[in-house]
Amino acid sequence: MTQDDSNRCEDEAKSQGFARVMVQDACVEWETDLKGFLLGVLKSHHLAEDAYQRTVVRAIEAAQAVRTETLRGWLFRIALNEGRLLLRQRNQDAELQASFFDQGARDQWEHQSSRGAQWISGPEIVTSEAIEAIQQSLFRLPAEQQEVIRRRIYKDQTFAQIAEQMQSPLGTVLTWMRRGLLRLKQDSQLRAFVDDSTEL
Amino acid sequence: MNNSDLNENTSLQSADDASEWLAMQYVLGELSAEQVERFESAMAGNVALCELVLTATKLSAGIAMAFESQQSKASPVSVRFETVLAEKTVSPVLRERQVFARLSVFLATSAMGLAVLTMMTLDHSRTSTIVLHDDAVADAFAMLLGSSPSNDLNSEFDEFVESEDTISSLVAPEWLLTAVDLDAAAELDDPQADNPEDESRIF
Repeated sequence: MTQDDSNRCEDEAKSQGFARVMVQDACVEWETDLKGFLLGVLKSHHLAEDAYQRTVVRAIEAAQAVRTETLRGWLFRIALNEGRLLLRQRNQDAELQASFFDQGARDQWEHQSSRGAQWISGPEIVTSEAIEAIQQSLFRLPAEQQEVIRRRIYKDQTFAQIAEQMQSPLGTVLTWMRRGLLRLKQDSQLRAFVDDSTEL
Repeated sequence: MNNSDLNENTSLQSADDASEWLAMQYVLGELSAEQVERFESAMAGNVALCELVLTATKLSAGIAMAFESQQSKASPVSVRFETVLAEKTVSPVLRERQVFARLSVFLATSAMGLAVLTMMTLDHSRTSTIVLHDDAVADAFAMLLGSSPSNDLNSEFDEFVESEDTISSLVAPEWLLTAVDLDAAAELDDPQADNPEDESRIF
């Protein structure tokens, strides 16, 4: 091996080490965002945590391929892939297990695996300041928009149920929901949080 | 800003709003399986969509926790208020239920007592043997049997429910007790105890 080859190897090793350190640091810095994103994909804190760990491992393994300017997007793509893979594996395992269960247990598993409001809340997703700001913004919404948002997100009712209970057409309920969320986004108090999604 | 710029901005804003709404629908699980597949494929090629999903997740979590916080803050007073309201609202019904419950218990107890009495009365007229293991139970049965109006007392326990006036008739006479004692003493001292006809030793 010539001196140039040796130097090249040394440079590569250094850059690999540097890349790994850069990726590791980025995973730590954006841990909340990555877990929040995975929570939105997987609808489960437990799965989001698992997927995050897999994302970190996979990202470090492929650290050499990353560029600094696209690091965040690159991590989100890896997280998405790992999340979808984990979900696919979980569904396959669940189907296999469900084939051995009786109908009652199968129904219970399906009920548990269906959406529920509990998965969305968690102290690690949003800060207490953001929660307070959201609360104040919610109170400024028109009553019907506030009610629809409360029923859909907090009570986890379907839009059909909300429409029936509020005695309004489904389209109206959806419009209230959409406009309410838009007003929340445009609210001056929340703007500081929404503009920079890492702060929410 | 001319009209075209305004229209472009409006359309962009609409497109952004549409993407945000789509991301929120994805997070809330409102999309069908096919729509989820398409959206996730779009996310793989568009990091901005991933950011929108992150924002939607955080906003949803913040909304849920804001309502949760409001609920928990209101709970001490509202629980008390609701409790008082519930008591005032429900108490007439509750009172009725309590009266009904007490009446039911009273009737059930009375029925049970009557049933036991009836059973005891019926048993009293039979010839079956009752085995008594406990003195208290024996006393209770004795009382029940003693108060029975039936005259067909054919049980071997008849003598135990005799009145106090007739107890004296069960007491052995003095001369009998003396005879028994003398006989016992004779058996111990004299092997001729097998000759009970000999009355000379008695008097």
